[in-house]
Amino acid sequence: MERVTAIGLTANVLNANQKTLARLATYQEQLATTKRINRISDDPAGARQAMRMRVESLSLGKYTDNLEKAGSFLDATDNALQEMGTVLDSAKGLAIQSANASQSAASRASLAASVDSLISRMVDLGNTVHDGRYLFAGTATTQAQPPFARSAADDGVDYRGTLDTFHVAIGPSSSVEVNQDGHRLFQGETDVFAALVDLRDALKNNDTDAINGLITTIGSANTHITALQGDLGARQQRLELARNQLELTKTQLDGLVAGIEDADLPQVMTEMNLAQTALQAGLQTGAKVMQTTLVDFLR
Amino acid sequence: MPDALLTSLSALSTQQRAMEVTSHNIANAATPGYTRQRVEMLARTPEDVKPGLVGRGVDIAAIRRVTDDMVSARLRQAEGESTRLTTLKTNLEVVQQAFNEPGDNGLAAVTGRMFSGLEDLSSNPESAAMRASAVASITTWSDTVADLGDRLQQVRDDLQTGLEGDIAKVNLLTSSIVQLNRQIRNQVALGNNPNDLMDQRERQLMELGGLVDGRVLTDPRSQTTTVLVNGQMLVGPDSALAVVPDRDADGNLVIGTAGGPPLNVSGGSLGALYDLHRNLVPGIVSSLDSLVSSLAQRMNAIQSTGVSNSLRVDTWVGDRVLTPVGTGIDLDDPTQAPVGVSSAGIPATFAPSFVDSTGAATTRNLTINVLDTVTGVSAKYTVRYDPTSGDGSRSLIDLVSAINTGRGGGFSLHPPLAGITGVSASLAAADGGYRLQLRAASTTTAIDFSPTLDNEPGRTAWTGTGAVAVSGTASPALGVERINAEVNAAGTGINLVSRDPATGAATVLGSLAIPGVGSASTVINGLTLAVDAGTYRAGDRFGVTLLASGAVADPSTGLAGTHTQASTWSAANPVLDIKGRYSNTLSDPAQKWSMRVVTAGVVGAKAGTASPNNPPVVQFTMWTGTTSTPVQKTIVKTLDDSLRAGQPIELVDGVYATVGAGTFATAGQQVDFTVDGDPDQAGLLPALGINQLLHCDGTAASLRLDATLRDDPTLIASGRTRNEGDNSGALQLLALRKQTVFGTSGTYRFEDAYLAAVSDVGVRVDETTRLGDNQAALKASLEHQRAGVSGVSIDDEVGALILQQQAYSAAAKMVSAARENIQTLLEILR
Repeated sequence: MERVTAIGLTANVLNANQKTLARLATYQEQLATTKRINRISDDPAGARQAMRMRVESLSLGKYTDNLEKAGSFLDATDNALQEMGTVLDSAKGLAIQSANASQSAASRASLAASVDSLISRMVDLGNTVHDGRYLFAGTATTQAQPPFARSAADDGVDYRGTLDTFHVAIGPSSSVEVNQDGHRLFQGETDVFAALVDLRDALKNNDTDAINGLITTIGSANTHITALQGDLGARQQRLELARNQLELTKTQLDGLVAGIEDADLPQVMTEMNLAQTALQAGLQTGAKVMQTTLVDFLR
Repeated sequence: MPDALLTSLSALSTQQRAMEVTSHNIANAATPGYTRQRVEMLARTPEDVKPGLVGRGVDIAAIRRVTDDMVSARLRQAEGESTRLTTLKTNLEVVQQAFNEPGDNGLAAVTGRMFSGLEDLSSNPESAAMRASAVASITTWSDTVADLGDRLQQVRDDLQTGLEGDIAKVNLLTSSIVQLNRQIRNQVALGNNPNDLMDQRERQLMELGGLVDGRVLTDPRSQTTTVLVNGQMLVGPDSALAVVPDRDADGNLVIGTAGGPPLNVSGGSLGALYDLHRNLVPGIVSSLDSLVSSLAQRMNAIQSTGVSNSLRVDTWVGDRVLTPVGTGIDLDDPTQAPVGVSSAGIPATFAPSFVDSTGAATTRNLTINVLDTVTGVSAKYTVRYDPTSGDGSRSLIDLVSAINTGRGGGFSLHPPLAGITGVSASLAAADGGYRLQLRAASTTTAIDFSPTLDNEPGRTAWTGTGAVAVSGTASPALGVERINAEVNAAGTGINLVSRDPATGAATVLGSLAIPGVGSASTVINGLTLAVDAGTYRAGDRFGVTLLASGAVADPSTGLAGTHTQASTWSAANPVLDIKGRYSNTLSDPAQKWSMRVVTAGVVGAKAGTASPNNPPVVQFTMWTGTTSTPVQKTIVKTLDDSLRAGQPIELVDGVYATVGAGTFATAGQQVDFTVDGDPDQAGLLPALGINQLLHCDGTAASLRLDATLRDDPTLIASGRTRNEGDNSGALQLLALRKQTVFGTSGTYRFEDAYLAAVSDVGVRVDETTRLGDNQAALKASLEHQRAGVSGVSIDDEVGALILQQQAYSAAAKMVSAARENIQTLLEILR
């Protein structure tokens, strides 16, 4: 039979109480921070997952910022394109009006002046600035000279921006083109500026054949601008989708992080109560058992 | 009758002794490590009184400790393992604490914020405020990394202090045990049982067992103990081995012994501290170091080959200090790596690479752009390394010489000039070694290393209308492989110029005035210089290659002969600009891009106009495709009124050209330009610390923002062209976040690799905690066992006391009875 000694008993009681106390301290910390994981060793796998998701959630927040900025840029672009469409409509109206056989050379010359001012208006729209940046200058967004200018000989509109595009990230693997290269937009396959300049020159020269031909050209320039607007609309829609997706993902991620990291308070409290009861029981029995020895019964 | 008295007297003294021992036991009931003692009583040898034997009382055979050596040995072992695990756990917890994760100020969160800062920069590269805040976020990141590195270093320093403390404790204990052994041996020789000394020794052996994992052997005769640690005798019967903190040949801390080989300790707190100091913490530190420096190297590579509107620097001084010897050996030589802490050299993560995937030396280009900040004209130079060129060497001195004179070791300069115009390289002395310095001759010159294009190539073309020829053999020898023939500042003469390989300082060897008519010639330094009459542009130059013999090489054959340079381009031609953001990665100066005038004419003239006012036709020659299979492509354009002056002409891969207003007078003229998609193939710039983002000597603790950038945050290279809205550099930095090239296997993203490293620490803490708990339970049960054998039970002792007391009283009664018997006898006598 094993001998039971005072020192052994004390050590036993102290050991058991120490363990219960350690458990109590853990529950207390979990209750105080409401977190189940306070340091990595509490749950290395969970902590790693939670940290990863949190970083991801943070970067999603940044994409939301980018989306907002890109959205306002695209809205400004949309406005500019809308205006350009109006300008081309007026130009077409003037062209149809001037094609009328009743017009004289003099009246056509005066219409040429109107078209000329439309050219200036168009150039101004091409030079639209949003948030301190040219919309249509590629990456030459803040240079002193605006991207579009009427050429020195006044025979066209020169592009002085760059052909490089400017993208911002709107998701972990998607980006959207914000500042655009105006040359490709307005002077590429369909040159909307040239159409206006040609119309003006035809009016000046009183060349009705050319004017008649240009009505179609301006019409197609207008169609081109409308197509650009459609393309832009599609991009705006993409932004909207991306925004919804981001919000959804972020909410999900935050929920997952909370699920991993947060303490289940009712459970922790229940377990803490149990531990407290165990501690009291341990202390009481310890006190009782250690009290009595043979000495108590000696007279 | 007196025999009975003596018998009782023996009982009296024996029981008294026994009571003393009981009282000693009770007195030590609470003494830790006390072993209860027991009086071993023995009946005395009986006396033969015919017809039988009569007992003669009791004797004390011995006072013995009640102990179980096996339990003690196990307990010592458990103690050693338990302190080892506790020490591991507490120190790993400190390491875990250093990482400060999960939390808002841990590196994971700070890394996320750095990338957010770069995201802001990428969405608004024009803003100086965004540049400053992006740089600030990088600073916070590098500070956090450095702080983490420092803290881990601090942990390692503390471990060393702990080790030294433990070593002192070991020495104290061993010498004390030796002393106790001596006393015990003496007592044993006298026939005594030195129980309390043995207890004392056992306590100290237990304590020693907590420090080192020793095997304790006890000599049964002398009762002395010896302690063996992995076969080495730490405590001998008469002497202890003095343990000292020592360093091995590699400078690592070891547990040395006075005059002996190092002690191989693996258990106890000393073993744990040694393991932590030698393996665990350095392992964690080195994985952090390599992770962080590999990201820093990549960030630096992007910064160094990037550019921005505001990045205009006329002098670059490399951050990396090379030893005086190191400047002369290959830059990728492993001996360049720094030895020990903070010495000169290129850390392994930053080492440049001059070899292909098979390990064979291969060609490597470095682009150097020289921008005139007043005119905005940029000239592009390529320093090309070719293992088959020259002696194939690739040291820093070779690089300096190539930049200064056009050739150095395996490096050579393209276009083939004797040195980069307006730039000189040199070795700047610093901290007992040298740094690479690139200095522009004028403060209105900016040097960068980006793929940005050679924007007005005609400006640097040879434009003289006459021909210049150089022939002969240099005498005396010049010590350089290339010299320049250049038009002097006034445009009135041609100079032959050599440049100093080490400093780039130009020496005019001699000059010849440009004749009004006909041609003139002269001999300069053994070389014949012949010049035709004509107009030449001041500053125009071409390089003349000298063979080893000093003879001028004929550029078409490479053999000794004459180098004749005729005009390729007219200074009066319209301005050609090459623009755009090259999206391909071709990088070979030999594959030149060019524009050739097919028919002369006026740019922007109406189509169909007759000569000389017809629109000109030009042909562009370009290279596209891949490095292994480059494809040449040509575009022919008529520069009529549909393509007015200054309007973009798209070439290929994002490159476009504009041609200014003016007249191309001569058909057949051609201007070459370089388009380079991989400006620093070898990684020379991060290796030498030129235009870097982060200073890093290969350790996390050394990481900090580069001093140049700290002073001027606008120098961050947000793009790859000089357009203010170009965010491609920032996007490249952001792309690093998604690259799966980090970690020991090189297959993780940076953040994942970091999290893996951190959670490794967490796993270790968790593991040692659980093992430690198990071990503590084991130890507790062994202690319980020991208490069962050796502990004092009050009940036991009181029981024994009652027995002894009763025996004593009875013996006293016996004495009294014996006395009465003697009294009775004496009365008869009276």
